Amino acid sequence: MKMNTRIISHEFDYHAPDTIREVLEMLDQHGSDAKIIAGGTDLITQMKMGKRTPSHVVDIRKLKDLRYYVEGAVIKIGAGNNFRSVMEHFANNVPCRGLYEAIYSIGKTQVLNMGTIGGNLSNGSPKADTAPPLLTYNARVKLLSLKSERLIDLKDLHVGYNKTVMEENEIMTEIQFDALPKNTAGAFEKKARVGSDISKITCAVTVTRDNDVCRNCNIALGAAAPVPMRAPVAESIMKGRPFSDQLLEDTALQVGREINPPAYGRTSVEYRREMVAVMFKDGFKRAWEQAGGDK
Amino acid sequence: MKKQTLNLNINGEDFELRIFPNELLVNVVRETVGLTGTKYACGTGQCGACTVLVDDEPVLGCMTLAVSAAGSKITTIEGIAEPDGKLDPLQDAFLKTNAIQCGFCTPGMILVGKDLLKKNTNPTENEIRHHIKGNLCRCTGYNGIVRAIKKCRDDMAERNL
Ligand SMILES: Cc1cc2nc3c(=O)[nH]c(=O)nc-3n(C[C@H](O)[C@H](O)[C@H](O)COP(=O)(O)OP(=O)(O)OC[C@H]3O[C@@H](n4cnc5c(N)ncnc54)[C@H](O)[C@@H]3O)c2cc1C
Repeated sequence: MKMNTRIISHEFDYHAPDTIREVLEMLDQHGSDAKIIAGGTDLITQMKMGKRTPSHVVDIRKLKDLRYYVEGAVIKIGAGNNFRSVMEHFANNVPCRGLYEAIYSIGKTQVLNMGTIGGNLSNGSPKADTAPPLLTYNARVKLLSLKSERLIDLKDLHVGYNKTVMEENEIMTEIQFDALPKNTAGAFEKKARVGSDISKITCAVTVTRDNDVCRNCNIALGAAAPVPMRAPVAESIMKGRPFSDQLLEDTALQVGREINPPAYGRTSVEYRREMVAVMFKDGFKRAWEQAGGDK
Repeated sequence: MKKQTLNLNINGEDFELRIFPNELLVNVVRETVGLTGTKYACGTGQCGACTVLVDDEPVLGCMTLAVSAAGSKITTIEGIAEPDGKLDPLQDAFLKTNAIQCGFCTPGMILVGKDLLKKNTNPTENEIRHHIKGNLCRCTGYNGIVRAIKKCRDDMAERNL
């Protein structure tokens, strides 16, 4: 696609409301003519390419009400938190290691300052790096409009390539998940063209260990299908069984079989299938060790 | 689309600008204000040449709507030397270690390097390389740049002794 990168050529009105309520009113009033901007790291590119031409741009970055954390039985993350803040928040959190590593892999200092976790998920890309670890936590997202508030499972948010179930008058306010059990740890593995870049293929693993038994092995993959996905069949191979090298090999093979990547994008289907198996094993081993137990 | 008034503090100086909502910060800084130290290159956030500090944090000028910076404090490469012209220690280290060839990436590199040294006064080489990942250099192979940041780190440590 031909791309003008110097300017945004279409015209729009810019709004920076002070409250979430005003944002919702604007979305309600302008419907598909309005678009939320948070960090802008996806939206500005899309506007430069002419893929999106909203006549009203509604800025939510300064809304403090979208930047919070709640710890407890349910862990809650305000959708407006930027990558850097989420990364720092989870820096020493062993069970949520996958989320930390996913954001670390994004790498670029400026993108960490600008991009938000809500923007990453709302944008709808199967390559969104925060989606796989959050899927392994069975995360939910809160969607708010003037007339309703709904909590949906993250696995139901993405419904197709760059497509979500979000209505144009809805804003994502929160990402949440139940606190992870003891003896849980995770990892995130990513392959990209260069050191920090959009993913070719990613794999998040979150393991719960009962001494030698793998109580749970949640596996999620990015850039592996039109939407971020779990690998339920592979998970079932490991779940509830004592760990063995053979089991790890079998699970890894199944992860490779389970992905459903499009035959385009930054790399071939064959590369993804082979690599994801290796990446799963690397991630699993790291997580397994961290998850502790007696051995 | 109407022009809006935008109040910005750039390098300690207050500006009242009239700009369109679809203008990008990099273009406003370079063309409206005339500070051309900030560079425009890829326009897609890959290269970091357009980096400026907004409220002391490095961001991409090519992916920031200028209106969204209303009321913020902007720092560009022109704003980091002392008022009397004495160079910032990192600028000085870049010169002394020959970390500059064509110079196009230098403003962004220095702003991001300063950001690192502010947050971590004793970064390892790996930490330095990770922090400048969002800034591309097509001349130096990065070694000179890493050397400059290390030198500045060591100079700072020595001065604090
Ligand atoms: C150089 C560069 C490198 C990148 N590298 C990576 C990478 O390695 N991994 C990765 O995953 N991504 C990467 N990205 C993509 C991008 O940074 C992320 O997807 C980021 O999380 C987007 O967040 P944002 O706040 O900037 O979203 P915006 O661009 O502001 O918005 C994105 C979309 O989400 C909508 N939106 C935003 N917030 C909300 C909300 N709270 N409620 C409802 N809708 C909302 C917007 O309307 C828009 O459609 C990169 C981008 C760039 C420019």
